[in-house]
Amino acid sequence: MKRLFIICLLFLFFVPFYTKAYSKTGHEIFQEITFKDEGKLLVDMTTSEVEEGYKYLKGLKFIGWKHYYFNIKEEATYVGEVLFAKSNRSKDPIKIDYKYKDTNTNERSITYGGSLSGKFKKNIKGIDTEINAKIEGNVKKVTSNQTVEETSFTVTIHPNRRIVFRETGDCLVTNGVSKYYFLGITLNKGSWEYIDIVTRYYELYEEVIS
Amino acid sequence: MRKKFFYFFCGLSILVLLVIIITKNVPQLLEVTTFKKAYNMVLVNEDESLEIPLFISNTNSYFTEKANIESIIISNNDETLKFNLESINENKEKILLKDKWFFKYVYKLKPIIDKTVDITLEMKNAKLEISFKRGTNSSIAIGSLCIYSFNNTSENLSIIKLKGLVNDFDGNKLVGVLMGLKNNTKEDLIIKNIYPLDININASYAEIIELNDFNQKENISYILGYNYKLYENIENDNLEISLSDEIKLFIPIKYKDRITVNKVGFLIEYVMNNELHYYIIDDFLFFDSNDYLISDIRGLVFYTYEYN
Repeated sequence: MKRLFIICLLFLFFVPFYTKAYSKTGHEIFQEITFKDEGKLLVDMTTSEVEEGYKYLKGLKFIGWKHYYFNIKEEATYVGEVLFAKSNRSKDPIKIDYKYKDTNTNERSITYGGSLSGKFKKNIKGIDTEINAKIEGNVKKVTSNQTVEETSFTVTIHPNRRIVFRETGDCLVTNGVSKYYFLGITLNKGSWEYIDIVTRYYELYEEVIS
Repeated sequence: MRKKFFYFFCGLSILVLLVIIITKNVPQLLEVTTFKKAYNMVLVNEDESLEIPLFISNTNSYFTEKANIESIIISNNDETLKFNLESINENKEKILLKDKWFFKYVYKLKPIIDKTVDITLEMKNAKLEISFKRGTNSSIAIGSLCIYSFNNTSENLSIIKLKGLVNDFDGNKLVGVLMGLKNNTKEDLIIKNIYPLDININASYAEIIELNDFNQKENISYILGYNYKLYENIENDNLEISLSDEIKLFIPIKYKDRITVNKVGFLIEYVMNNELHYYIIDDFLFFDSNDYLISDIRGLVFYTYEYN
């Protein structure tokens, strides 16, 4: 019994628990993504649809990565995070001054599936460079962070109302599957998706507290 | 044979020497550019500042270190305003222009201004003028600059909705604003004027409609039901909008110039008990984009300076 207890403790110690916030888009910063034309997020694809992608990677490769793209810079709109919300449950109006300043906003959101890990990030850069080179008239730009302009406002929150400041925007979705070959043998494979934010829209509104 | 080798060696030495002299005397150049836009500020809080991004061809130059800068003003032919340089922040963004990478640095500036008096400062063709401690100056066209400060804003009105409609008119343009207003008094108010606080735009009073909401990027012509003209000189008569409780107005915007306005405040004039009052809406960021168009890039002006 004691041994079993020690084994359980060791198991807890060595096996890390990953908790990931649920997001129906697969990306924490996007609550909803709607494609302008055709397109599908990885999270909405069935296993067989993803497997179909791997079939295109079956050709001979001695060493290195092979990629298959489901979507390349497909235009979409997103509903982003609530940046600020405050409710007034009192009987009197509340006046607040709010200042929004985010100096460290990621312009790109990346997810990986299968046996791909964060190390695949450098391959995403390579994929993006390759795609950009193919798209004519594209302005070549490298960004890891975006400085969002500062904005501030004074607002009165009326009794039983809630004020919300939120972000929506335009984005480009690229996703696909990749396989890594060594001496013709598949050593690693998985799916990936990256979403680039192009334009952010900000909105302030008041709603009745239910 | 020895003689030939001697002549060859002398010739080669002279050539190498010439190359060294020529390359040493050619000064290394630094290039700076920026996308022109409508900068505006409504001064409400003490710590408000203006952020101007500059794209610089080198990462390590006197443009990128605060310690190298003596003073900064923004001016045009008629007006001048001095600023304190708060910081120069490297943005980790670079853009390929003229086959060369340009690195983004953001100048954060605080206007030196007395806010106890009402201020309206509007500059078209504004230039960022930097004096360096090394004795040189630079003058970079940034677009326009408008600064407003009001001391007697009322609290009879408050905002319940603020959302900008952005359409593609040769790039993203703020074409209309959905503004929800609430009357906080028991008196009836009459809205007389709604002024966007930027020199480049006007509200088109004749085209204002009541609207609950719109989908972002929805075509303004579809919302209004006719073909909308963005660039138009208009003459506005006073408004007569009665406000007893709440109202949501869609305010179409007209442009005087082809410039990007993504952040703007408003001054609302209204009558209550036969007296004129005003309500100020602080500058609100309606959209923010890093989507540079080829047409924007073609219009860039590159300023060249000696690197050393």
